[in-house]
Amino acid sequence: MKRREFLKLFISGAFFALFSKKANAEKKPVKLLKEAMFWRRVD
Amino acid sequence: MAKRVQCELCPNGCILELGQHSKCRARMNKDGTLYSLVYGKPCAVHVDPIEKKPFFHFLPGTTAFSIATAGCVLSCKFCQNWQISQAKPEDTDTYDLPPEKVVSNAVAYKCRSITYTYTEPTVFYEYMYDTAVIARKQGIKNTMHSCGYINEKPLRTLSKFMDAADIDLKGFTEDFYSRICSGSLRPVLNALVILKEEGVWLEITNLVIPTLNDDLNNVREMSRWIAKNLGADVPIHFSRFFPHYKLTNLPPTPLETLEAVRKTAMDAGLKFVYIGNIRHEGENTFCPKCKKVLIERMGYFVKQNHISNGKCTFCSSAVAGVWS
Repeated sequence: MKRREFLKLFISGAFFALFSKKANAEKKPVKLLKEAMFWRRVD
Repeated sequence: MAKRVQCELCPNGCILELGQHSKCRARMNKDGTLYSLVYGKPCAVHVDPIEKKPFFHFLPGTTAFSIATAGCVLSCKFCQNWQISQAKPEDTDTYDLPPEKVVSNAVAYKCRSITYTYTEPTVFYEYMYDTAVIARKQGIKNTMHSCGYINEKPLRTLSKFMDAADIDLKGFTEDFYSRICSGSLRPVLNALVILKEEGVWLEITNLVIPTLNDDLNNVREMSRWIAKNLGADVPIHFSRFFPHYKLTNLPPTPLETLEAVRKTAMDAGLKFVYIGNIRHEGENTFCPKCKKVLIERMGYFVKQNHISNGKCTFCSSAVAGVWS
């Protein structure tokens, strides 16, 4: 890999490492279960 | 036996006694009703480049709000995300993120799409479906990366709200699916055809594993099947395998193997054949007509894009994909 390509890769990697964020999800109490959409009773 | 239920979501068709969990670990028979255990509880939430999914012909250069819950319908010995795909929901750290919050987060992070990915989205079908319905109303695209191990009725229902799907076609023999994935090939082929029929933009990923699915005759057969049943315009991504989970005894896929596989698929008539998980010119999109580089990529990043209004800017021929 040439020096120029390495620098491009390094800078783009650093950019995303600095500015990408894990989504800001909320922590809330556990909610009720959700009934499945595709199922049937066997008995 | 009273109050048994059968899950009709995937070909596993689990029949569950009271209190029993499904094979995917994400469903449970509680008091004679089948429940999802992962609704609104993703264990992975990230903003990713769409190229990471991988989608190369779907809104290139944009970001996708990506979610996953624990569980999988298959048990691939080479799984690259086994820490969450083969885990029980209660053994993972989860967020409380209901569908409307997923969509509002996608908007807040300026994502053009939401991707259901990392593990197997079929296991969180209800969560995915409800999210997709809301996202569609707000102009956010829906995409999924799936193994395609899902029954026809739920897949057709979901397809009404799914804009693109990247399906793992892990091999092309029943023996491979049975021995390595604890599954079956036929339902995956059916799912691919259904997605095509429903008008969902389709890309295919094949992880090339040394000695297990790198036979060129097999690759040729698979490529011909794709060209005949799905069309030569369907992009296929041959990804480099790295030793993970239960296949740590095998080496990473050699570059020569990936190049041979790519050539075989192109010779079989496929127009867009990519190599992934390795830096190579096979990451780029070439115009099938004039052969010039249309999209130059470096990993997940788009360096140049010469597609305008769905056409090659050099020769004006149409390029299959969703470009805006």
